[in-house]
Amino acid sequence: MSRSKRFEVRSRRAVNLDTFVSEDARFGLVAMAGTHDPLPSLTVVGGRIVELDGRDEEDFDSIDRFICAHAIDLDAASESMEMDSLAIARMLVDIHTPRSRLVRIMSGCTPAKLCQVVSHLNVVEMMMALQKMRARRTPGNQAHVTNWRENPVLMAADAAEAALRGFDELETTCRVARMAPFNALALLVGSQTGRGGVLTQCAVEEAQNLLLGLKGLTSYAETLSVYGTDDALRDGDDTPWSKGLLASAYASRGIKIRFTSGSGSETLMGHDEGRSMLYLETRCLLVAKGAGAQGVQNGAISCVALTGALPEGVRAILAENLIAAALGLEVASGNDAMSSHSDMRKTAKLMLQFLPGTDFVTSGYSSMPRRDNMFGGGNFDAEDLDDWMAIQRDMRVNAGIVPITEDQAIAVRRKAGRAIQAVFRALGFPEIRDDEVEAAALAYDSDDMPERDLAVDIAAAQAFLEGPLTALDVAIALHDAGFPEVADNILSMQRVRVTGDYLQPAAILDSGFDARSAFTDRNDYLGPGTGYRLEGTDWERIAGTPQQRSAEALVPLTSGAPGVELRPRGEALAGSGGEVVIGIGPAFARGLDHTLCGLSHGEVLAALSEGIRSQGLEPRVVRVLDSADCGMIGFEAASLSGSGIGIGLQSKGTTVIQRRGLAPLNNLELFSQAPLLSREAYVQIGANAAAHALNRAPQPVPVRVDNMSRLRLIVHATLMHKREIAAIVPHGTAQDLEVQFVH
Amino acid sequence: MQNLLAGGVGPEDVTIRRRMLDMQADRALAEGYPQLARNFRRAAEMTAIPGPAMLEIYEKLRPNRSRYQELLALSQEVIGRYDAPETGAYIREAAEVYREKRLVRED
Repeated sequence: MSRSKRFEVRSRRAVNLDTFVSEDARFGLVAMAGTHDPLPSLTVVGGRIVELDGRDEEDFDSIDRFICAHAIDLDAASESMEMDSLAIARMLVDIHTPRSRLVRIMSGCTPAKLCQVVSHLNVVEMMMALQKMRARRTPGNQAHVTNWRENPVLMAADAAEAALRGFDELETTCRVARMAPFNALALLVGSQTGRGGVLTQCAVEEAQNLLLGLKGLTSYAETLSVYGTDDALRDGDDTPWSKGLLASAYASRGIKIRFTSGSGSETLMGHDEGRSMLYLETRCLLVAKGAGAQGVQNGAISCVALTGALPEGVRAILAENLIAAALGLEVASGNDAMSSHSDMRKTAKLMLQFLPGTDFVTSGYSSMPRRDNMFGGGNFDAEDLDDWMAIQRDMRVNAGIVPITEDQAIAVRRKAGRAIQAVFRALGFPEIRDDEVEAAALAYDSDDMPERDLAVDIAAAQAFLEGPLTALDVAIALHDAGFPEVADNILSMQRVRVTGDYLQPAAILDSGFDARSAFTDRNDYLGPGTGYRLEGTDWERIAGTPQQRSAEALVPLTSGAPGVELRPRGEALAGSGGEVVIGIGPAFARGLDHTLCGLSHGEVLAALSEGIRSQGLEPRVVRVLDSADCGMIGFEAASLSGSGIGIGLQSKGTTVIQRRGLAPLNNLELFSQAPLLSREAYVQIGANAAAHALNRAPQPVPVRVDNMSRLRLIVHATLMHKREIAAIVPHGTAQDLEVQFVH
Repeated sequence: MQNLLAGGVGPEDVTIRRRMLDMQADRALAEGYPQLARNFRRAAEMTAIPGPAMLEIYEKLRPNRSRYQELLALSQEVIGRYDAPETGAYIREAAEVYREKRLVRED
């Protein structure tokens, strides 16, 4: 069969590397609103739930038991379960219904009810709802900080830069599990070098996690995973009760935690029981709520490519973020694992959380290049940062990252490298050399780092873990080594455990170590003019990316090298005989000196003259003073020209051939795409003008086609034209010019 | 910082106390977060449980680790030894469910 060339080309597009699968309940491949999902129902007898979503008490699994015992507020349920799900959905979007009212309603809903409510919302409505239901008023973001070599200097440098870029939380993990203590240490020192108050975690096995927390090396834990079926939970070696107890264990030491769920996991594990992914995720969320977790990491997470392979999978992922928020939980909303080969597709998915804002727009932005991402993540990485900045600036949206300059990045990275070097020296860990610090300051990824002896590092890390040293000793070491602010920050991170304010829902710490949580940074969104708005210095910071240049910088005042000197020699008078008049704009070779295609003004005049002369006529250059408009300049030139043919030439290079007698906007030939002209083109334009004067046939002018030229140069064109307009002399008469080419 | 340098601050000084957790529980309840409040109340009780013992309790609550009777005994111990009635009740509740749902150790 003969192939369509376009289909062939598209078959090689990145998006066609993604997997798209049709719905199939036999394999649990249903994103939401599955035909096997139960309908909402709740039966309460004597203050006890005896039926939940069509399942009788004697058939409850352990998740049902837990949800009934802990998650559903029976008081609220008597109202919520009687309400029309569509009515609740409308209240979610309604700008007049406050968050608190909805959290109360949702607290009485069964899993099927919650799913039914959100099923009525399209993604725009879900985003509206998410904006209101987000626990914390101010959006935030989380970064991954890892590297393949487990290099502590690079880790500290990356952590410092990520902290400076505004990430509220940093997460690390290990390729080599026994390096965990050093990874946690590097993250702590680096983060507190970048900004005091950034929360850090090291995602390893549960008992290790707790141990690192007890030593003060981490400030929160996140990977307390829950699943939506008993079998999946068992495969995860936990029950709702054991997870709940673990949550309380952390809290008893003053350490913040969140649970991790995410649609698709049960299906991946083969334990979906035929239910939709969203329905199972909703059960997870009720387990999290019932256990008293303050928040969750959700939004498919590692399974994003599974949920995302299904029709409306991305819609379901947004729905699960919304349900979590509507239950009052903090939400770290995915966008961490690789979600698509296509930049377009993955960014579109991101916008569903980016635009309304969530407590953490990603649950792991790869602050380093994705090659070094040990989570199997890196959906958005170090190379994508400037795109992220541009989109925030485009839309006036705070998605939790701020721009920094190259100098700022290098300086903070170097400082963090020196700080971790000092800690290692003071605590007797393997040496960190000066060249390692310097390499980390400038590195792209871990390939740029000198090798360390990993075996020696591992041994020291294990000794550190088993020994008596804690974060307090790290603070002392830093203070003695000349890093008093970093030392203070690390001490402050320990002290926040005392009050427990940062255990509140959606809590992050500001640089004063005060907790900004759902209680202290309350989301009071009630429509336009309310809630979080990106304003003031925060907006200036996001708008002021390093790539932004002033008008003066984009189109600087003339370098003084237009390649031609044009001396006025009196008023231009009407000519006679074999001439073509070249009319130039008021700022030509006087304030501006190059056209948009890159030729100097002298080169353009020389080319036009060559073309005119090639037909046996003479060029005369005249400066029009009273207009910057190409058509008017051409009109005046033609009026003065002995042959009746004139050329209009703006400083930016736009050119027109005009004949005397024609209206200003009705010309013989117009070359409006100034960036696409060239020396050859201008020569032909001159020749054509003369040909028109001699009634000969003009030739086609060679003009490149480049759709990108407007994108590249429209701002420059605007600024140049403003400069030309500024040079206008109202009612000024055209000047005759003596032309002196300068090389 | 000066205090720390002078040796006046140890790990036990930078951890949360029972009273603080109870206050956070009150706050959570007032804000409409009853489950978070219950978590904090259990945590308040668990401040009295040493780290290793706490990890042991967690282990015992994982699937098929403990017999039903062991969980009951654990529940009693937590209540009696550590003055942790809510945590004890939580373990007791788990024990009942585990027995029905075959999450206890069978041998």
